[in-house]
Amino acid sequence: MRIKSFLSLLVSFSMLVPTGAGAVEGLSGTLTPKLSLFDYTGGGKAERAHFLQRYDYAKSWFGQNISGAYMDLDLSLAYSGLTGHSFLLERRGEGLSDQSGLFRYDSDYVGVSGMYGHHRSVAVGVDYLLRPNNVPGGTDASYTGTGSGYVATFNDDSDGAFFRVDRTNYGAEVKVKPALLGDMASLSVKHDGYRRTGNSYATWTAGGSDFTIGAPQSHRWRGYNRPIEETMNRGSIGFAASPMGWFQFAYDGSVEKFVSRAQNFTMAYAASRPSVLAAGATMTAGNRIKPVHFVPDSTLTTHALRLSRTFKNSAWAAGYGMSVLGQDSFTPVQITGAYGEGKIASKNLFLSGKARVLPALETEGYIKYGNRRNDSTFPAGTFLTATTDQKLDLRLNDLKTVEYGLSAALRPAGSRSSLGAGWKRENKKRGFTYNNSAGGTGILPKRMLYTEESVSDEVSVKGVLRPTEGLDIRLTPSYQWSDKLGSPLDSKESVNLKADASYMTDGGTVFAAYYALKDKRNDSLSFTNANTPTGADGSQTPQTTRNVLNSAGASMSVACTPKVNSSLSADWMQNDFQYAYITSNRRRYAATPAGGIVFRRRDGSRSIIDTTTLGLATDWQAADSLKVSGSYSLSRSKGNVATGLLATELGSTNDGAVDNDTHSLSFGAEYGMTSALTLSGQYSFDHYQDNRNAFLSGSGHAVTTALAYKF
Amino acid sequence: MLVWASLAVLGSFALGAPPARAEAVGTACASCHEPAVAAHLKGKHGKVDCLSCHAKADAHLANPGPDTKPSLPDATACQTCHVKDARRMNWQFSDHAKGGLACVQCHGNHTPKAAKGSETARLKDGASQLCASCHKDVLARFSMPSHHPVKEGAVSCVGCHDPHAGKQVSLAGKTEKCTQCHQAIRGPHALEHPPVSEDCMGCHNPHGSPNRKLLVQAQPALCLQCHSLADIRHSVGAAANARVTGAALRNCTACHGAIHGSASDQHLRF
Repeated sequence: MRIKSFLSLLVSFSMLVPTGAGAVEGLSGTLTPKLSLFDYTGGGKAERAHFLQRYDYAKSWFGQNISGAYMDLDLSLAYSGLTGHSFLLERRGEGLSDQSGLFRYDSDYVGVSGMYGHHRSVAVGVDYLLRPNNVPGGTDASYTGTGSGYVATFNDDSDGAFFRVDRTNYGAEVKVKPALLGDMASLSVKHDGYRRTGNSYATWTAGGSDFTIGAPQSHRWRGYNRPIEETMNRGSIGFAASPMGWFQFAYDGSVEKFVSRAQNFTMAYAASRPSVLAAGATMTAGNRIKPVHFVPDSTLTTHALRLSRTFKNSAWAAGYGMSVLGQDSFTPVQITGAYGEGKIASKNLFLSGKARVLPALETEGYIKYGNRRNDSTFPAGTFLTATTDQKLDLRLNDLKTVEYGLSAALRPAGSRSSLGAGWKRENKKRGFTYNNSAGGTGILPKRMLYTEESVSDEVSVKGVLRPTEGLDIRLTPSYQWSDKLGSPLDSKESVNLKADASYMTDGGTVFAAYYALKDKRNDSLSFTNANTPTGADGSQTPQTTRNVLNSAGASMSVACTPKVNSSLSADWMQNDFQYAYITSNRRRYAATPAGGIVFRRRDGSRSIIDTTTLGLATDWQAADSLKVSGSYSLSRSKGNVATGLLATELGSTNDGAVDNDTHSLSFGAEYGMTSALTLSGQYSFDHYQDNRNAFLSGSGHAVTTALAYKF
Repeated sequence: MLVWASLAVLGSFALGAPPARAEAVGTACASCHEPAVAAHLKGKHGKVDCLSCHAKADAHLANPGPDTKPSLPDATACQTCHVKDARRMNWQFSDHAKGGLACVQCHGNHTPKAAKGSETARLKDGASQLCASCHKDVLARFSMPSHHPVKEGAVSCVGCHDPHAGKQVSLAGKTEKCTQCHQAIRGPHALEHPPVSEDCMGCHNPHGSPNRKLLVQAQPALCLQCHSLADIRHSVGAAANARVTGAALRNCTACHGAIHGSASDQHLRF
C-alpha cells in the first residue's frame, strides 16, 4: 500500500501546477487535488464490510476497502457577470465511492441547475455479520417442535458475497423566472432520479409445507444474497403565480417511475441448493414460483395545489394534494390469482389562517384532512382472501385523518419575547377487513391491540424569552391525552417538555444548553381470551407500556485567545421503555369456539439505553499563514434490551444488551504557501469498540493531503 | 431535459442583458463597507440597493457608527420580492417563523451563510451544518451507531425537511417523505403490515438510534409491544407456556423478513 501511495502522491502533485487560468473579472474558484490513504483493522471481514465503513465506504484504486489510497479533486468555480448572469460549478469527491457535484446558471430570466451524487453504503454487509448462524444463540439446535422448525436450523445461501449498495442520484431543473413572465409567475421543469445497484443480505422463512420430504423443517429458514437493481426517474413541473399581487398560487405535479430489475427471485433457487438436494428435500411447482421479497415496479403520480393570501393583519393558506401509487409488475402468484391492480390513492387537504387580532396578539387556526385508500384488487384468487385461513390477517382499506387546532401568541410591541398557547386534536379512522374464514378462524378485534379509531388532544405552551441582548430561552411544555387509542404506538397520555437556552457574549462566546422529555404511557389496550367450548369472551391481558425519552446537552464555543477558537459539546440521551411480554397458547387468528385462546402475561420487561456523545474541537491560527486544528468526539451507547425472563433468554445471545463506543480523533493543518496556494493535511483515527459483538470492533486510520489553488 | 436547459440558457442570452445593475448600488455604503459591497455586487442581490433591505439607514448615513447600525431585514422585507416563490409561500405558517426566525438567520444576503462552531464541521453538507448549529439534539443523534448518513454527506437535512414550511401546511402523507427515496419498500403490497402503511416513524427514528436499522426500540421490544407470541410457533416444542429461546427473540425480522409488506405471505416471511 505504502509504495503505491507514494506513487499516488507524485501523480497528485503533478496536478498542482497552475494551469494558467489567471483570475478573470467575475470568475473565481478553487481547485483542490487530494490524496487520501486509509487503513482499517478488525471490525468485520476484510473481504466483506468493515463496521466503520458502513456509511462511509472508502474504495482504493486497487479495489480494496480495507487499506489503500485514492486521489480526488474538489472543484469550485463561480462566475458572476455584472449583467446578471452567474454560473457555479462544484464537485466534491472522496474517491470513487463517494462524490457529488452541482452546477447552476442564473440570469434574471432563467435558472438552470443540475446535480449528481454517488454514495456507497455497506451497512447491509454488517447485517450479514449478524446472521443467525454467525452469532451465539442465533439458532436453537434443541428446538424439537413438531410441526415447526423455524429457529432450529438456519441455512446461509449467500456464498460469501460482498454486500454493498451503490446509489447514484442525479437531477436537472430549468426555472423560468418572473421577469420573463410579466413579473407575475414562475415555472420550473425538473427531472431527477437515482440508480441503486448492489446486493444485500436478506432472510426469509418458507411455509410449513413448502418443502416436502427429506427433513423439510431443516430447510425452511434461509438467508441469501439479494440482488438490487433499481432505477427511479421522476419528472416534475411547478408553476407559481401572484396575479396582480392579489394572492399566491402554486401547482406542483410529478410522475415518478420506479423499476426494479432484480425482482424475479423465487423460492425455486432454494430447491436447487446442494444441501437441499443432498437431503432429498423437494418443492412443488406451485411453491417454486412463490416470490421472495418481491419489489414491484411502480408509478407514482402526484398533484398539489396551494393558495395563499396575505392581508395587512391576517394570512390564509390552503392546499389540496392527491397521489396515486400504482403497481406495474406482478408475481406469478398474483397473476394466477387475478390480482390485477395494486393501487394506493391518497388525498390531503389543509386550511390555515392567522390573524393579528390585537397589536400584540396573534391567533392561528388550522385543519388538515388526509385519506389513504387501498384500491388494490381484493379478494384475489386463493392467495388473498378474507374467507380462507392464513390468506389474510387484516386489511387496512382506508385511513382517514383529521387534525385541527387553535393557538394564540402574545408578542408585546417592541419586545422580542413571546408567549403562546395552543390546542390540537387528531382523529384517525381506519377501515379494516378482518379475516373470517369458513372454518370459524380469523382474527377478531378483541385479539388485537390495533383498533379502528384514535382520538387524541394536545395542549401546549410555547415561550420565547429574549430578556437581554444575546440571551435566548425557549420553553415548550405540552400534554397529550387520548380518548381512543389506535395501537400501543399511540399514548394514553404523554407529557412533553422542550427547553433550550443560548447566550452569546459581546466577545462572541456562545453557551447553549437544552433538555427534552417525552413521557408516554399506555395502559388501556388488552387481548381478550376466548373460552372453550363456547368461545365466549374470557379474561383480558392488558399491554402496559411506558416510554420515557430524556435528552440533555450543553455546548460552548469560545475564542480562547484572538487566535484560538475552541468548542465543547456534551449530549446525553436515554430511552427507557417498559412493556409486557405476552404470549398466547395458539395463533390469534386460529382461535375457534372449540379451541379457544388464552393469552398470558409472561413477565414485564424494561429496556434502558443511554447514549452519550462528547465533542471537542480547536482551531489555532498559529501564524498568518498557518492554521492548526484538532478534534475529538466520542459516542457511547450502553444499556439493556430487556429485563426479567426476556433478559434471561436473550442472555444466550449477543442481543440482550447494547454496549459500544466510537472514538474519532483528528488533527489537521493548513499552510498558506502563497495567496493562491494552500497546502493542507489531516490525519484521522476512528475506533469502534463493541463489547457485545466483539467481531465488529476495529479501527481506521486515514491521512489526507490537499493543495488548494484559488484564483 | 438537456435540450430544455440549453434552450433556457441560450434564450436568456438572446433576450439580452436585463436592466443594467445600478452602478450606484451601495455607493455611499462602499466607502466604509467595501468588502461587503463588493461581494454583494457579485451576488444574486447585486442590483438591489443596500437601503432596500437595510431599513432605518438614514440615521446611520447621517452619523455612521455602531449605535446607528441599520437593522437586518425581517422575513416580510424579503418577501417583498420573493412573493412569487412557491417554496416560500407558506413561510408564515412554518415552524421556523413561529419560532421568531428571520430569513437572515440562515441566508446570507451578500454571500451564502456558513455555519459557525467547529462542532458542526463534522457534517460535510453546508445546509446541514446550518441546521445543526441550532438543532444540537438532532446533531447528537447522527453520532449514534445507526444513523442516516448526514455526517457522511450522503443525505442532507433539507432533503427531508422543508425549512420554509411545516407539517401544518404539508401535503405529503406520513410515509411519503420516506418513500421519496425508499421506493423499494413502499409497495404497493398485496399484504401490508398496516402500521407500516400509516407511519414509518412508529418503528424508526430517522435521525439516529442506538438500535440497528434506526429502530426506536430494539427487537424484540419493538414488536412485543403490539404482538403476542404464539407458543405453537415460537416456543420450544411448540408447547403452551414453554420457554421461547433467545434464538426466536433476538431478531423477529430474521424470520419475518418482509416486515414492510409481502406480495403473497400473510405472515410477512418472504
